[in-house]
Amino acid sequence: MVAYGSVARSARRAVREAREKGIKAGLIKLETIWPFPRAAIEKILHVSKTVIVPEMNMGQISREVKRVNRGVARVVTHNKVDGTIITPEEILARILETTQS
Amino acid sequence: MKRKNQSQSRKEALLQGNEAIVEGALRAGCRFFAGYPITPATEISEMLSARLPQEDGTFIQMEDEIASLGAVIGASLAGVKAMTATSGPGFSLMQENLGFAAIAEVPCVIVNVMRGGPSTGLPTLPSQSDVMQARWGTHGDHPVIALCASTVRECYDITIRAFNLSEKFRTPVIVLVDEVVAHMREKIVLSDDEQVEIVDRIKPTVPPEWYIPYEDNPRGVSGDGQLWRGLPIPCHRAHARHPGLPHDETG
Repeated sequence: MVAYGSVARSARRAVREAREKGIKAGLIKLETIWPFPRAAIEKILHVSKTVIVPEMNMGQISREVKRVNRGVARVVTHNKVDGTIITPEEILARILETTQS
Repeated sequence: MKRKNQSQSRKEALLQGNEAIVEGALRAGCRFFAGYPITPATEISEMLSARLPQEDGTFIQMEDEIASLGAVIGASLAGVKAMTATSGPGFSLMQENLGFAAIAEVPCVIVNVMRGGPSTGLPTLPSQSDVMQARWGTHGDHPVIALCASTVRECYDITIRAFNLSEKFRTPVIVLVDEVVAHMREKIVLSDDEQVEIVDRIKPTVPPEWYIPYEDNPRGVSGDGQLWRGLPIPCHRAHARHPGLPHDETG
């Protein structure tokens, strides 16, 4: 999972719960957004099957992740723009959905 | 009951993200703020309007966000660490001057507490919709540094880091904060004893008539990572041109 800002907090909780369910999950929390931390992201793309990018916009950092991905992993977006925060439950549901499919 | 080993300067506080940004800015040496209040970034202006005069700094409320960043750029070129704070709509207005700060190599910090957009959008609900605007909002290709905080403690640390990076690389630095982080209260422990790395600009040592604004400094571009040349300090009565055109070392 790649997340930043308040969403990274929900993501951390979701990762913890996913691990309790036996899913090998991890989180990269971005503190530096620009310049885009390409080397750090590439490293996880090469060891992950799926990368989920939850963010409260229509997909701005997920585009950057897809740009550096170049077909290595599966990049799944999770977007929300209705002014409510992304909850850990939502992210966990997305993790379960992607791991089962 | 007071703990024995507790130092006098240690301060425990329940702070909002916005208040932590103010603490971080003052710790980093920010002594100028120009801004126009906008929810959810108003608390930054509000607190700095009280705190800056106590620290021998200057607070100005400008007529809009265009003028705010203009004043910040002017203050930075005059030698003080300067910042402004806004939200999405104000950040749109700042894009013109942000481009100027990028090409004229003016260090400054812009805090953008993100709310839902576009336009007036969703005041004041959380969003992360200004990420690409921070990168490509102004016209032309330019390097940019943008940092993002997710806790109140990080608001403090990242604001200090933003000032350091802007002084070191001589570029505007954008601090992106979600509205929920900016308005959330968390316990934070601040201490004056704490070792905080503060980067200050290299001061010109030559007489004013020899002063070259964009001269390479002896430390060079590589080496210790300093991309730094002297910028004027107050009372250094050098004349320098800082145009919005590509420049040579004389400006």
